[in-house]
Amino acid sequence: MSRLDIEDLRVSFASRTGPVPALRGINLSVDGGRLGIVGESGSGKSTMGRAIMGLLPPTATVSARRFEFAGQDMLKASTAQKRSMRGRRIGMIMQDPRYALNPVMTVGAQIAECFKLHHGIVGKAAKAKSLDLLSAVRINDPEIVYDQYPHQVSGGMGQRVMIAIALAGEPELLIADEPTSALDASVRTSFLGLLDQIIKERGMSLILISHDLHLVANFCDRVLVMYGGQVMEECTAADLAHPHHAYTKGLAACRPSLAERLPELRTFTRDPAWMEAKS
Amino acid sequence: MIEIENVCVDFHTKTRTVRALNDVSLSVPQGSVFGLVGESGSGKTTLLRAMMALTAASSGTVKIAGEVVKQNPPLAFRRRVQMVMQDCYASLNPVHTVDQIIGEPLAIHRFDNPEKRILQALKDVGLGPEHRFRFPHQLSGGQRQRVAIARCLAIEPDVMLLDEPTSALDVSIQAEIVNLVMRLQREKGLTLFIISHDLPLVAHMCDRLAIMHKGVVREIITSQDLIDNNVKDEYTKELLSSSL
Repeated sequence: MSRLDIEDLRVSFASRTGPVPALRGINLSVDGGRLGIVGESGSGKSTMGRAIMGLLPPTATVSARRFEFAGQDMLKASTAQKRSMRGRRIGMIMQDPRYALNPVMTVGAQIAECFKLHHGIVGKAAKAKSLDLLSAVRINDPEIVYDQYPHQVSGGMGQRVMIAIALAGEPELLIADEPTSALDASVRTSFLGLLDQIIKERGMSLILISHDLHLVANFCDRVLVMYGGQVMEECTAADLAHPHHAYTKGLAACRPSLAERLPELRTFTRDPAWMEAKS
Repeated sequence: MIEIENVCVDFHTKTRTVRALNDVSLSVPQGSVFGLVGESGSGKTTLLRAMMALTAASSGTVKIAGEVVKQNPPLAFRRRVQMVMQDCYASLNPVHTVDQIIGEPLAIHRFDNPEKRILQALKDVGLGPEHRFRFPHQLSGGQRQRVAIARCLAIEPDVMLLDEPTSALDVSIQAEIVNLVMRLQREKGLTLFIISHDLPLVAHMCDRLAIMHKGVVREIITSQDLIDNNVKDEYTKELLSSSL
């Protein structure tokens, strides 16, 4: 199992008024299992996923005391080295299949392209492997879907095609950035079940990025709660039922629940102390 | 306040006809909050569009405040029935200031004293005068949705239709917006019609709710029924179990 080790990761974006910090000293390690990263918009969770993938724009400045994947220093890696890892060793599933898939290529061609790129498999062999993957992600008529364009498949199916594309590189680490936010509640459960089965079968590690505390608590083994570019709390998913940090508590309490009826939903005020840099 | 009787909506393509709403009937009394739940493609938004006279019903009638809703309705209907869209990142004009966004419906409906009404509308939704001359991109998601609500409230509607009003927002911001909407509903005696796929949220906000599936209303229940798990329809049971 390849380890991802990150110590004191800092990312800031250049702007007219000076650098804007997005991540302020993140420690993280993944060695198998399912890690959840939860936070609200602007907490830096997507920046985190993109930093690991090496997909940050040129305006970003990245620094870290340690940033290693499978023993390789990611900060020192050349563009070519990073490109050879992207998709092949670290895969990513994007948020919305409507935007992340190429609209003018058939679904099958997009999967087959990954086999060509990562394994040099072309032609009939690539098609056969792509069809296998489509069935592995539980698409009922792989032969038909193979020749369809992204706009012809539903959101849930599109999201499964995105897993198939990510799996084609056979990565050791899979990053899923809000993979279910474009899906219905009923499709969501079956999608997560499928994701879980696939990472277990293939012995992959997973980083699941989400804004939904409830979903992450049910699905992941470990959870990082982020706010303002820092980690507020790190705990096992089971402990998320009894959070320690005031931010996590607030986030858990403001969700409406069928179990209790309140005259008003709970809200919470953000403590400026949470934004202060932790030593 | 809202009477929907046997409404069907068909969409025609070159090769086939799709029935998006099939014989939908429901009624919402004045001053109550009604929820509509269902998966994407179940016809929730089509029903809302039919109520707003944006989509023509193939058969059946929609009555709001006793009047039958027709295509190209009079201006007074538009004042009485207002809608808050799902995506506040897309529903505000990016080149208009908050002042222009709230002022435009006031001008269309020839309200007097727009200055005072704009400030009051902002105050109602918990925004200050400092937000008045900002552009949407200078506001957070929660503030944008507050502006969208202020735009509706400024012209004093009787019915407000909300299409997934919080699905683009974080849970903590969702709680603030929901509390705001419910407070305004009580203060102004509004009739609310809310679309959402979030069952606990609908149970919190609504008095009664309808569950839709494939263009058909499967069941109409009270929020208490939902909390007590007192549902009869198979599809509702399935939906309830998958959302827990």
